[in-house]
Formats: sequence, structure tokens, C-alpha cells
Amino acid sequence: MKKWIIPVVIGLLALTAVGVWGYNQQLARRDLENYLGNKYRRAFFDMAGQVQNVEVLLSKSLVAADPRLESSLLNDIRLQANFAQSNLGQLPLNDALAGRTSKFLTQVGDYADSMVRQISQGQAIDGSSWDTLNSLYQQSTDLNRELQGMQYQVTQNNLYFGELLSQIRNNLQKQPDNLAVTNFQAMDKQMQQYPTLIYDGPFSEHLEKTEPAALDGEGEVSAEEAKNRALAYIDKRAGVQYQATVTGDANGRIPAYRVEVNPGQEGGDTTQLDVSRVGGQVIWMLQGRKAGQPAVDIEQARQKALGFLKDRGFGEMRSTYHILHGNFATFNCAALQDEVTIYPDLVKVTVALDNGEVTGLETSGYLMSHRKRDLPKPSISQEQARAAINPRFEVSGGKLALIPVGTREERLAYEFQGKLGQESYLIYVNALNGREENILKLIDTPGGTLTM
Amino acid sequence: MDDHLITCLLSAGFLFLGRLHKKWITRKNINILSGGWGIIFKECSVSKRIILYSFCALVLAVAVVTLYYRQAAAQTQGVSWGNSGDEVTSVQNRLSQWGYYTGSLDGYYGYDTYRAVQNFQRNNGIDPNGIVGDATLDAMGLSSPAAAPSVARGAATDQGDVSLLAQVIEGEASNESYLGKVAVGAVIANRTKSASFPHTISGVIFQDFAFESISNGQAYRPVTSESVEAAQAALAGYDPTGGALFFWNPYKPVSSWIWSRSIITQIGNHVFAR
Repeated sequence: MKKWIIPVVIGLLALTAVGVWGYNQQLARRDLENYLGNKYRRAFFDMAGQVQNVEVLLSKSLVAADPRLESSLLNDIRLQANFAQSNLGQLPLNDALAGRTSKFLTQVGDYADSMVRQISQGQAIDGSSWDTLNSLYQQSTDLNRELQGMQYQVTQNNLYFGELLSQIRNNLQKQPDNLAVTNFQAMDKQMQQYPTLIYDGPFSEHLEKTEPAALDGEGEVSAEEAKNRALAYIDKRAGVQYQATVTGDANGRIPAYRVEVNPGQEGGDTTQLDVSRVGGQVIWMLQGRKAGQPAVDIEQARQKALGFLKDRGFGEMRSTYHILHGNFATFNCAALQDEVTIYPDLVKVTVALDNGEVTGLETSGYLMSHRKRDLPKPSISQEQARAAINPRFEVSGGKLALIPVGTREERLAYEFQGKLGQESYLIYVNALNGREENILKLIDTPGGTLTM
Repeated sequence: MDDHLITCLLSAGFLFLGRLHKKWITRKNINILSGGWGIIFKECSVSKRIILYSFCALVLAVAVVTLYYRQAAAQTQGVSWGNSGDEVTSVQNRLSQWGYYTGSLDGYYGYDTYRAVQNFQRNNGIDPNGIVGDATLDAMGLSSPAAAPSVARGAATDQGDVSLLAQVIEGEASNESYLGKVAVGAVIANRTKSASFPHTISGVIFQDFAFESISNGQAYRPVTSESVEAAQAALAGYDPTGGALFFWNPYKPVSSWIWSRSIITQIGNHVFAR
């Protein structure tokens, strides 16, 4: 036995131990970095969303006429500005950007607060306050644009936050102990909204409802029947034999059979559908295919979507808004009753723009709320309703619509389109008491018009 | 003053001025016929002419001044007691919104409206004269601005939410079918509407321990177009999960707690539950 073996073994053991320790340290550091990075990402994206909310709320506050609506908008502005500011405070940003942004957010919050006080004392928003709101709105637009640029960078290459983190590592002697998440989110009200098709965001809260109104009193259907119902919904191509199979169950809000429809060879792609056990209605349908170059224009696609619904027993429907994604267009179609647009009864139809085939359908909102309604008679005229709108607006339209308010209530309102500068809004004036019920801002995106 | 009166005054003034010479001649003859008085008249003729001219000028001036004041009044006066019409209705409407006016929106400016206007004016630091003038209209937000106000074009988009959602879909369900991807997106969208979760896409995604691919950083890689399309479909409202709030891979070890949730369905390698 040679004498040098023992020190070598000890050395190797020590080396291994150090290696393992180092590797664990490395893993732990990476985990922590990930953790911290995610905290920053969340704070950043939340803040970006809240600044966007501030922008949209400010623009609504410019056009609201009813002081009750105005003060609720101003309250939301204050809240959103405060949220945005505390999220900003969690971000490792340099003072140049953070200081300016933080100051702006404080100002917006304070100003909104003072306006709410003013309104609660019965004082009106006069011309100069309006100008201040307008200038705050313009600043918020700039800030939002800037943040969106950063957001784009962050999602395109995550290097941004990585670099930020390595900077922090160099600057910090110890791990930051300030990772506690501030608990903003424990509010039941949906505070942050994202742009979405009309009456699809805060209003399509169907989760609370339990019984689908449209299926009330219907009988249970068998699996065989469900297959037939599914086949009837497929936008069939000529000369293709479709095969339907029940592949499982879905016990969601509306219990359903899951059906797969197979077009066989060369017939296209498989379509999946949920057919409700009660009433045998299709809840959703999706065909997982890609669409080629558009050969159908939007108007043709819209007619196709409306025709599709008509052929499948949906009564009179009106296409309200649409968005484009990939080479697909998704149309929002609302039910009509006595010429009144029933926004809660919403169906979404997706049309592939390459051949005009209907590849998707979503009816859960419709099934949850559709029924024949006892619509009240409007007690104020369209002209009287128009008088309730901010005179700065160029107003058009004025059709009656039933709009969802909160999760359960519905109100009959006149729907006006208003333009202020280059911005468009929808204004809803209650047809029974003349109150301004709601203002939605129309948001132009490359894919179509969304609302917030 | 009445519109007709002003018109009468104006036209009378002009008529007198126009016919003055003709009339003068006729009167001169009459004066000559009337003898002695005629001489006085004749002597006074120049001064009478001046009187007549100045009378005409006076009538015209009165008419013009009245007209001017009327227009000025129309600009500042707005509506006051005794008026009726659409403008009164808007004022009543606005006052009732603020809670100053509780009467009916009948479009007649009566005592109740008067009191309401005065209260409004007092509260807003305007002279409480009960007349809805420019300042009051402005305070009520009823004055239309002379020029269209310059309002910036907004910068709101849905890009942030779409790309974030696509990233998680890529991280959690890159091997799933399109349907499976939409389903994962729908769970996140459903969570934003649930009282038990944060109400923002970013809040849900970056919640601690919510998504493994976010915790371990695997989600941060280039996304495929299918993931982006699935994210758009989920945000457009497609929900193949029937309202699910949870999903997990049943072939991997997960906490036993999650199996206690009520399972809705399975799509690909994911179980979806409420």
C-alpha cells in the first residue's frame, strides 16, 4: 500500500463533496433567480395592465356625463393608479424611469381622489378640470405606449429580465429579503380587465350561474342522439362521409358528452364537440386545423357565420363584433328579440378564411342565459336618452339593447356610438330612467375592434 | 323685447329715411297753403328736417341696439324662469343626476327648477341668479366647446395578455393538440374570473407554484404560432374545459389534494377540474 493513496482519496472525496455542494448551490441560485425573475415579471405585467386600465378609465372619464358613473370611474382610476404604483415599487428599475412614472401615477391618483370629493359635494367637473383630465389621459397614453414597447421586448427575449437580474446580483451583497407578495388581489370585484370582444369580459361571468336557462325543461339525450346532434353541427363538405364517436364525458357547468367527428380520408381535420346531456345542444366545437391564405373576405365570412347559426335553429341573431386571429375570424353573434339586441345571449362562431368553413363554435354563454324575456317598454325616448350624453361627443346610433350588469342583472338601454377626436366609445343609457349605465371604449387592434 | 317689434322699428326707420324727401315736398306745399304759419314753417324747415332725420336715426339706433343686446343675451342668458324646451329638459336631467332636482323632466322651467339651479350655482361658486348662463352650462357639462377638443389616440392593446398566455401554453402544453392548448389557456382565463384567484392574466400566471414551467423557467422559450392561436381562442372565450380552474398530468406524481377536486374531463395528457 503506497502512502500517497490516502491523501489522494481524501482529496478526491473532498473535491467531490465540494463539487456536490457547489452544484447544489448553483441549482439553488438558479431557482432563486427564477423565483425572483417571476416576481419581477408579475409586477411588471401587472403594472403594464394597470397603466393601460388607467389610460382607458381616464378616456372614459372624459366622456362620461352622469356624475354617478363619473365618480365610479374616478374611484377605479385611483385604485388602479395605486396598484400600478406599488407594483412599480417592486421593480428593480432605475430612478430615471421609475421616478417619473411613479410621480405621474401619484398625480393621477390624487387628482382622481380630489375629483371624487368634488363630485360628492355636488360640484361639477368644469372645463378646466376636464382639460386636466385630458392632459393626464395623454400622458397615460404615452406611458402605456412605452410600457408596451418594454412588454414586447420582455416577451420577445427574456434576456431583458436576465440582464436585470445579473445586475442586481452584482449590486447585492445579500439576498433580498423583501419578497413578500403584497396581497392586492383579494378583491372579488374584477379590477383589471383585458381587451376583449364586446360583452365578453367582465360581463360574461357565467361561472356563478348554475342552471343553463336555454336547456330548462329539456329531456336527457342518449349517446346515440348526441352523435347525431354533433353531426348536424358540422359544416360539412360535399361528398365526405362523417363518422361520430363519443369519446368521453365532460362534467363542467353543463354536463356533456364529448364527441369526436372524423371526416375519414381527405375529408379534412377531426372536430371535437361537447354535446349537452340535457337538451342535446352543442356547447363548443373546435376543429384543430391551420388555415391557409385568405380567399374569403370578412363580409362573406360573417354571412357564412350567420347562415350557419340560422340553419342550426338559433333564432334571429345579429353579428356585433369580430376579431381576426391567424387566418380565422371569430364573430360575436347576439340574439335579437323584437329588434332589441340581447347581449347576454352571445354565441361565437369561428370561420376559416381560406375556404369559409365554420371551424369553431362557442355557445355556453348563450345556453346559460337564453330565454324569452319580458322586455319592458322604454319610458324615455331616444331623444331624451341622447340628452344624457356628454355634449362633447359626436353621437350616432341609439338602438335598444339588453345589457348585462354585474353577474345576474340585465338592463334595457339605448346603445349610442360616440366619437371624441379619433376615439370611439359605446354609451349605454338606461331606457327606463335615463341614467348613463355604462361606457365601453372601442379598441382598435390589428385583429379587429375590441372593447374595454 | 319681441322680435316683431324690432323688425317693425327697423323697417319703419328705413322707410322714413327713404321717403323723407318726397314727403318733405308735399308738406312744403301744404305749409304754403296754410298761410302765415307756412312762413314760420318755411323758416323752420331746415331745423324740422334735422328733427325728422334725427328721429329716424333714433328709431334705427334703438332697433340696432336692442338687436345687439338680444344677441348678447342669447349667448349669456341660456334658459331662465318661464322658458321651456329641450334645453330645459337637459338642464333638469343634469340637475336630477346630481341630486339637486327631484321634479319631473317636463322641460318647463318652473319654481323647482329655479331653486335647483340656484342651489347648483351656490355649490359651484357661480352667482346664484337662477339663470342658466354660460358659466352654469359649462359647470353642468352642457356647453359644447367651440372647437373640437384635441384628444390623444389611445394605446391600449391586447398584445401583452396574448403573448403571456401563449408563453404559458407553450411551457405547459407544447406537446398537446390544439384543443389541449386552448384548454390550458381557458383554465387561466377562468381563473381570472374566479374569486379565489388573482384577476389578471399576469397575476394568475406568476402566482407562486401555480405553473411548473414558470417556476423552473422552461416557459421562457420561443412560442409556436399554434400556441399564440390557442391563446387568442382562449381569450376570445373558447373553453373546452367547461369552466375548469385546475389541470394536471395524471401520469405524473402530483399532490393528493388536487385529486380531491371535482374532475370535469380529460383532454390529451391533462385532467381538468373545478
